[in-house]
Amino acid sequence: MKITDSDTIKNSETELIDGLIGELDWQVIESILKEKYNLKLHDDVEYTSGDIIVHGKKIAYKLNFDVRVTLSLLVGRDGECFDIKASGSQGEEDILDMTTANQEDGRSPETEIEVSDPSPVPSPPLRQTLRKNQEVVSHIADIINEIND
Amino acid sequence: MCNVICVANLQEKTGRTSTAVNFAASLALLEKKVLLVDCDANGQASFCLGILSHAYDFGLDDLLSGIVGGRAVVRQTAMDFLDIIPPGHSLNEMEKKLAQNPDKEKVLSIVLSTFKERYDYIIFDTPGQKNLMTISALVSCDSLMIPALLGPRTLDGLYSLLGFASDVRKKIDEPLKIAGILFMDCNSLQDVDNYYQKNEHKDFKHAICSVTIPGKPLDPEVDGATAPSCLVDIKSDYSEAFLDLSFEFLYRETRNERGK
Repeated sequence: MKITDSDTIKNSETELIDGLIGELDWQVIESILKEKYNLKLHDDVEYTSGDIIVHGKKIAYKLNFDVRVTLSLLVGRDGECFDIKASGSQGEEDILDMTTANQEDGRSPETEIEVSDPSPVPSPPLRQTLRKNQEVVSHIADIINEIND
Repeated sequence: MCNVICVANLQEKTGRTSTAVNFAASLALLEKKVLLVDCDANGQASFCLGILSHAYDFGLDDLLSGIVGGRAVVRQTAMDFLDIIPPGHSLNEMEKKLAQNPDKEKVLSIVLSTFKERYDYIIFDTPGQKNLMTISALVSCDSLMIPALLGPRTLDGLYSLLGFASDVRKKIDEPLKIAGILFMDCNSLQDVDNYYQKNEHKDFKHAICSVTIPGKPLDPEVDGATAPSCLVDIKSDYSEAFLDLSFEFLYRETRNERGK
């Protein structure tokens, strides 16, 4: 026997999860990612889905995001992968010493320096705000055009 | 032909009263016959024009209830071309009574219809809430002017008001024009462009007034202003900006008339 509208419940849950996402401390999340997985978040973080679940006999909120990380692959001429590094490892610069490889074919060693993208990246809460602003602006423009028609 | 303009924003302290009062006064300076209707029970617009609550007997609430006719509620101001209808002493109670009326949103439009012959402009100062007075003003007006302050909640505020206005007008199936989004506390449109560095506002830039008002909106409770800015200091940037706004408005009207 239904005592309320299921849409009402779904909308309320969505609002709750949206509210949670808006209050996430992304600096802490980034530091956990770096510590646990040696990964550094880069650029867009896209929220995909969220749900209320039971975790260890307690209510929990599962929030799924698609994130982009910068990977650096070191591949030899024979196709062998020497190394995979994520952008969060070894800080902003990664100096690769190719002495061993180049000495095999007699060339002088070269130093390869990887530098992360110097352009400023807005922090995740600001990215979400910008995205939300764009949606709001689009709605505003639609309503104005509709009203003025 | 009378042009009815509703000044509204659902956010507080955005300059609704300052805009309504000073815009009305500026049009009056240009010798346009203006009636300012104070739809806000707190009576700040009336206060700004020197009409104190103890100084009148009848107001908008009495007009809406049918107790008195039009002339009894109109108060002259210090400006020859500017009159005002103050809110009255029990506008909130009148709203509750009117709530029973199935055509409650149209009552204001009906009682004001006789004034349209006598005035070039009727301007509503509305409360910053989605109440019956705001709805009635939105139903009665020809165009909507939206004062706004640049800030993190500006876009949400615009969206909220425009959506609300659109819903109100859809119910009565009558078109509404946007008179303009008027940015307060801005020295020029460059301030707006600088604020929205990623050009987020490009899709509704055409609705933004080319004139901006420098300085924060006057708060009668704080500033104690009992006269429009043009009577206090006509050479101030604030006064000049509202005069420019009036010129822009008149020019646009003239152009629209010629286009017909």
